[in-house]
Amino acid sequence: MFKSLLYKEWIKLRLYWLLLFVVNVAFCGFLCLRLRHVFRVNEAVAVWSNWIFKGYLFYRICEYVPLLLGVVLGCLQFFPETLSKRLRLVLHLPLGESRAASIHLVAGLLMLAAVYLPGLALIAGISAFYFPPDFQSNLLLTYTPWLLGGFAAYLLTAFTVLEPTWRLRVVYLLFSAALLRLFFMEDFYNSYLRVMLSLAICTSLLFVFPLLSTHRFGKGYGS
Amino acid sequence: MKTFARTLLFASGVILLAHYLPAGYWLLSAKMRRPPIVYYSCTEKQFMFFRYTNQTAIRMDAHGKVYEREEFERILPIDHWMQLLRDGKLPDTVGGVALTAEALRRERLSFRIKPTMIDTPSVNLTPLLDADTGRVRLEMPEDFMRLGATIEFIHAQTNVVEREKSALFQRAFAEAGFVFPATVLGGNPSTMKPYDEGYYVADATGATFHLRQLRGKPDIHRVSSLASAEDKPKWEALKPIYFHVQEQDTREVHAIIVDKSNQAWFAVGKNYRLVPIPLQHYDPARMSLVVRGDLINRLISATGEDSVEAVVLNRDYGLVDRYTEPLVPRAATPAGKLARAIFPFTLRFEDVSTGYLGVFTEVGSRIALLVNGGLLVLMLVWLGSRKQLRLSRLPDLLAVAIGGIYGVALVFLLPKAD
Repeated sequence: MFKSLLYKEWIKLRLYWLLLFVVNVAFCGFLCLRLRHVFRVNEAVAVWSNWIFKGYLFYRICEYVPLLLGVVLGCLQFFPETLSKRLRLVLHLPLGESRAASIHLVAGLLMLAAVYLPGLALIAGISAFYFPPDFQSNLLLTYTPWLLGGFAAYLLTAFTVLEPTWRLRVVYLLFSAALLRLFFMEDFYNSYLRVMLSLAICTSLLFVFPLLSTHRFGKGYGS
Repeated sequence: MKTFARTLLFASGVILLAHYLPAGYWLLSAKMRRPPIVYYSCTEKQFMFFRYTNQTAIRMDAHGKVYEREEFERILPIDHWMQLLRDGKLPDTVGGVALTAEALRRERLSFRIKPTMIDTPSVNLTPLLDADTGRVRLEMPEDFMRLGATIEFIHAQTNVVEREKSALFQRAFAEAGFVFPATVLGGNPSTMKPYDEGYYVADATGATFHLRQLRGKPDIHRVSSLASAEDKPKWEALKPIYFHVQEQDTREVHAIIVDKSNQAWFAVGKNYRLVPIPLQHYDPARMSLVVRGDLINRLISATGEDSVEAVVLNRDYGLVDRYTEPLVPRAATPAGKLARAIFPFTLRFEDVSTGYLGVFTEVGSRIALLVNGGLLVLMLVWLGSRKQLRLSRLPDLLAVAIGGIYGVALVFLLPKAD
């Protein structure tokens, strides 16, 4: 049943996933080309100094890309389910509503990770030609909150979209915006170093929110 | 699962409201609050102040006497020498010291150390300038120094470790008695300065070393070995947490050092004299330290949320005068008292004490606790009257008991228990 549901989600989303994957990798590839350009038209010492002392990160432009991808995938996955009430069919499976909803979320999170990680690997790999290893750890510490923000955005989108009443959808939208802002407070680098673990734990706890919405959806609130 | 999810939703809601509601409150009610700028008059031998009251700048002395701008500038001739020179009112001498434009410019000192400069994210790579290239201007090197468990130089253009140079410096560090890893490093990696002081480094034992590069060769010394017999024990006992290096035309101050006991020091002169700055309330995590020096005095002020303290030292770093003034912290203003009564606690994720994000809490007053209790009683009565006082409403009750008004808002906003 687990594999079947994952496969169902893959069949449903594979074209969209491919599109998001290509867009993300193409964008990261563009950033790498820009980095090459920066090193060709500037002295390496100046680029390094700007990074170390002024916090210039060539990939900062993609700060909100994981967030955007998370929201888009969440909408693509759950809007069709709620609009035609198809989700009710899944919730009546012998698996139980929480497990069924969890499998949907796991499928989405895996697909999202498969979108994010190649882009990050591309940036890390190309930047290794131009920067010392310190830059890679810097990249990881700076990029991780954005990735966590992307996963959080996906879960909060599912939470909002699956909620059956419009009043609570508006409340959840405000709640999500307020929460997601906390992932994007960095204006230098490594600022999240001391709260990274807490941020990761908080993000993983968000998994239960869409289950609450699914439960309410199954109960028929708002209909 | 759904009870856990609701509990978590309430907890998240309380955290978010504890951050955003007080922020919104202060957005509406914040007023201009600036600590006074402290001066010391070398003619009147007293502290002078530039204060902001009701968005108006007032110049006054320690006795509360208010001065017009021209009078204020006349009393502080060294601080306003350029204006007085332009107006033809600059005295020739003050206390027997001749005031010439060249000397005033050369002997000017200015340092500022903020808490975020001490505790801030950084990358362990920095350029080690050559202090003696034989050129008129300082030049940025082509490599960056990484000083941690070893010392390495990485060539920026090729992104390759320079083995030969790294080994040369590693040997020099060993000969100087440096114990790796380096724990504190302070320097001024800029070419926009009159000369290069190099870096001050604390090793694993806390001992301080002075590192420079001279014509491509390492120049590293344990500072206690350069100091006079009188200062040597002070350098040996020093456990620095921060070195502030900022080259000035006088070349008098090598560095300002903050140690583990929150004591700030000047390292001055050819013999690396270690002079304690006689501030009594300086907390480097919460206060800004400003040093202004001139031909006659050194004025050092430490300004925080609740006090400003200033000391004046003469050119030999002897104490001339001191001044302490309590300031009204934001929490003690009428708006602050109201905030502490309304909000049981406030969460911030940024703080003046650090460049890192964290969770910083401010607890409300006892009134807020009473409000929480009152709201909880009302909530119990309300739930009881609707026959909804059951275990599934525990998250609601906890949110009100802990979060007060945050909890009440959430009870009405978030989904009800089944």
